[in-house]
Amino acid sequence: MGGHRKVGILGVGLVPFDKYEDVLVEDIARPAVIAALKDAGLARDDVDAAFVSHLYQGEVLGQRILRGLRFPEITITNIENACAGGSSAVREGWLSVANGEHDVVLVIGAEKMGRGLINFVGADVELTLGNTAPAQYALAARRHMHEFGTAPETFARIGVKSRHHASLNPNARFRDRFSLEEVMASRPIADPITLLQCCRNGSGAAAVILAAEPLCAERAGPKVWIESSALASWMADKEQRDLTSFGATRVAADAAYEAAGIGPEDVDLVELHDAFTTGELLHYEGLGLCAKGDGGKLVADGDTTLGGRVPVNVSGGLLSKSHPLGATGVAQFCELTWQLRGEALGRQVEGASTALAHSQGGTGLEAGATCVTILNRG
Amino acid sequence: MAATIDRDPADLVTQPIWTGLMGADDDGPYLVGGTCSACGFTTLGVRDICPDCWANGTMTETPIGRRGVLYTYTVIHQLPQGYDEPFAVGYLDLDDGVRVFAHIENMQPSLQIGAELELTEATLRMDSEGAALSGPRYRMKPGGE
Repeated sequence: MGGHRKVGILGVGLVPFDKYEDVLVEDIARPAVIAALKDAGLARDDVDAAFVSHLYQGEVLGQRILRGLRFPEITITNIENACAGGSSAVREGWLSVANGEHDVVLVIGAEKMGRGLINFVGADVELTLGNTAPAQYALAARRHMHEFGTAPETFARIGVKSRHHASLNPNARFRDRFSLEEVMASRPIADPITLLQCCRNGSGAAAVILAAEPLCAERAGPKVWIESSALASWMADKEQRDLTSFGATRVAADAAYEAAGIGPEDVDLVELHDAFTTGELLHYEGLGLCAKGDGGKLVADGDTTLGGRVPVNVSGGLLSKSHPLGATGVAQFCELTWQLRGEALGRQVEGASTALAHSQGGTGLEAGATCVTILNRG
Repeated sequence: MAATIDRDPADLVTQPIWTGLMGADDDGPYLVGGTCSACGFTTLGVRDICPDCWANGTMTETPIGRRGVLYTYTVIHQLPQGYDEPFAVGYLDLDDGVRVFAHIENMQPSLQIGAELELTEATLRMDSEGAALSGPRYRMKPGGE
């Protein structure tokens, strides 16, 4: 990214995901903003602009959150990119600092959700015919099973891993461990996906403070930098495409690796979009953590478990934290910042210096957004 | 115009799940496709603008989807509104180069990727007022794999 300023993560704040049934979304979000600013050692008057991600929270959410904290008349942009909205907001904030538009930017992701399957607003013919989010991931998984001989148990093992990681993370919502047999025997949702292989709906918020290099250099302790961020779209309009490469993960990852001047072998840990276990496996391959078709081997060898070669979703991921749509992508940056600072007590990836955040979202298997961001400890 | 399926008066409560999705002629039910008279590109449904060559108003209705090859499938157990039992769905690759999402007659374990399927019209679910909604459902061709 020639000509760009170096941008660091100066502070993070998380409101751990839960139900929050009797709390307004603005009230859910505000403690995350306060925590991030406190972590950064900054005050509200230091913030030049805010980028705010949500999906179903109505108009000008950012303004509604921040007026209740008596922010001045700063630039606020509200962002929707389905479940990749949070990471897209971080990326927009990063770009605005990198390009010199702002020096200090606040990124917020916040969502308040009810129960059950997501009710997409823009109903297309597939959704009308009964397609669901888990079915989309099941359809991709079934094709992967057909082409590469992947077993249903392989996907289920990712569910076991998720709860193992979550049991170590006090910020995770579902922390009970489960055996492979229990995951396999849980209620069927869409073959081969069972209940314990699905993320739950959730409510919550996360906030990140991004700043230009000079401010970040003043911060005591380890520094966390954003090396690159790439956003790609998948645009399959009733075409006969390969669904085992789910979404635009490969395109976004290749662009992010190239801009950071690294390859997948340089990544020490990953937070990726595990809305369903099958998605996590397909994204291993899309991110280049293994060769195409070898995702199952990565799981079997424990490579993506804490202590393995490249731990994935040490936070517990969406599967164990639940998934407040617009907040999810921002929360990944909270976890990765703690990891890169060496502050992830009980679940620390030792010696972590390069991390990758991946999230994606869309409706159906035809249109969506995928964002990949590379972070570095320096 | 799409030919519409003649209904027995007793079936009048059945409505199409998506207006304009299906038609029928002497060869049986079909999906309503659009083919661009300028470039030949084919889509599911008739679009105003051809997605490929961007010509406006050149797409004309054409029957597609009488047969397809199963690309992938699943059985949905967590039911969306209007369904009362698990149902199979999949993506089918049609000869016209189009891939469609559709219901499939649930015939596991014989259902296999690569199976050749043919189109039928069937009741898929109920709407919020209890009326039956009909739409495309594929099944194995008689004598097929």
